[in-house]
Amino acid sequence: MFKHIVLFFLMVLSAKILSADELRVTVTSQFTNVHSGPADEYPVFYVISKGEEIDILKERTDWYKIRTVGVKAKQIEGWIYRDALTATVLKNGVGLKAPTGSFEDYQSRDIELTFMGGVLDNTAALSATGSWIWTRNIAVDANYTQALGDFSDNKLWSIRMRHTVFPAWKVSPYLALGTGEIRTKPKASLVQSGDDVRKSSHYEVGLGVRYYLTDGVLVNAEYRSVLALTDRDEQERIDQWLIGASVFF
Amino acid sequence: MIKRLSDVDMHVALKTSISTTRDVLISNRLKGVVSYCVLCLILLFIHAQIAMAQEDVVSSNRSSGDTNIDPNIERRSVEEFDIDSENIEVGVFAGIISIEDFSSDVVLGARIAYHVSENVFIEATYGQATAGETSFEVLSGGAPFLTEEERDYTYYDVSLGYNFNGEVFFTKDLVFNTDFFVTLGAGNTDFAGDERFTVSAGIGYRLLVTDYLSVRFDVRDHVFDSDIIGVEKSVHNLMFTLSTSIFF
Repeated sequence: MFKHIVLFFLMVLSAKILSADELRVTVTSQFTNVHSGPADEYPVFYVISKGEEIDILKERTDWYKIRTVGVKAKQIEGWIYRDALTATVLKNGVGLKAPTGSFEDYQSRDIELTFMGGVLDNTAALSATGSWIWTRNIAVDANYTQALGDFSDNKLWSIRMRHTVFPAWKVSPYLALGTGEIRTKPKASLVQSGDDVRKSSHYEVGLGVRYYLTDGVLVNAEYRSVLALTDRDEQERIDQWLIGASVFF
Repeated sequence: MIKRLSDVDMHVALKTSISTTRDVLISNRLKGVVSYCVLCLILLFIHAQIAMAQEDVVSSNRSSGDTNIDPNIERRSVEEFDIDSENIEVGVFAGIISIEDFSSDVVLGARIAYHVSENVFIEATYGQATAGETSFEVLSGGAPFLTEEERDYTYYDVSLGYNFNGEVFFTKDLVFNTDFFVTLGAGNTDFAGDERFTVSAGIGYRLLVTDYLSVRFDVRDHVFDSDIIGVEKSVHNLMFTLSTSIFF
């Protein structure tokens, strides 16, 4: 396992070194501050004046790494803020607009990652979800939840369809329907507990509300009703309450 | 001999000729109408084509004129507009974990983080270690508490981190960007045959050797409720790790 991770790490590193894409633009604002690092806290050490040409090298969160154009010895490398990038034009006069994680960007997102915490019956539960935004209203979720209680470990995975009723609203309710599997394992320290893992399929209905908080972050609250199709005579109903946050790409 | 046509005959002949002429006229007019219609349709079609072409020109003029263009959109059509985005950080780490009651051991692991903003990041961590023996086991020389398999300690968690950005000056010219960060998270520890809900809290220091390559030092505490040695208590497992990570 660890070997594979290291191998993957080396692959990413080599791909990193090989890739280099740059974009030449001309600054149109009166002046642009260049910071020494990709954050507002880093000091401004250079100012680009209007009409100067720069190369955009890469992007880190809201910051863009740039290099001034000129004699190699006199080139300056630094970071400019997203808003400064908006005040630049390409050679053909076309302006640039940076993706900001704004509500407009949110509405055209493709992928979403959600982490939630809460309770499953009376045990603490953690949930991670990857979502593919199919249409404005419909998303496909792959969800994994675990609830590690005093007497048993419960793990649930499910695939579900989520319908956002009003995608253009900042506070928007949604409804989800899904199916998957529950694995329940009794605690090893319990007397008379076997090592057997109980598996059963389940159906779930989720009812939630999400709120677009700020730059690329959403807050979610959800109730899930899980119906486990057990081998026993009666079906088991589990209630789940979760709250968490999502990021989107 | 020429037969004189009767009035009736004349009338019939006249009527026939009139109706024939009318038929011809009508059919000619019909043809005219049809061809006129066809011509109109063709003109209409040409007009539509021109209008559409003009609209294209207008809209392309408009877009190149004053409005902004999303580089993401450009990225699809023109290759050189591909701005390299580096918000994901992957890393491997090695260090020491002190497993409460079970001595200290080597821990190896990996992490992946997504940087939401210059300050906030979300990080998933996976690590594994093998627990040693308790003092009691060593001193008494008696039966071990756990089987070899149960001594495998693996954990994973998801944390939210906050960066305090800064710089470090080794000499006047040798300057590196750094982050001091705090993390808080929750996850799972698989140890002594059970999985336990684990809360993790930590602090760390990231030194960026280049823009994309960093060296990190992390201290994390993993807290979970355990009854391994008989009594139920909260155990603290402190972990000190050194890692290298890349942004991509």
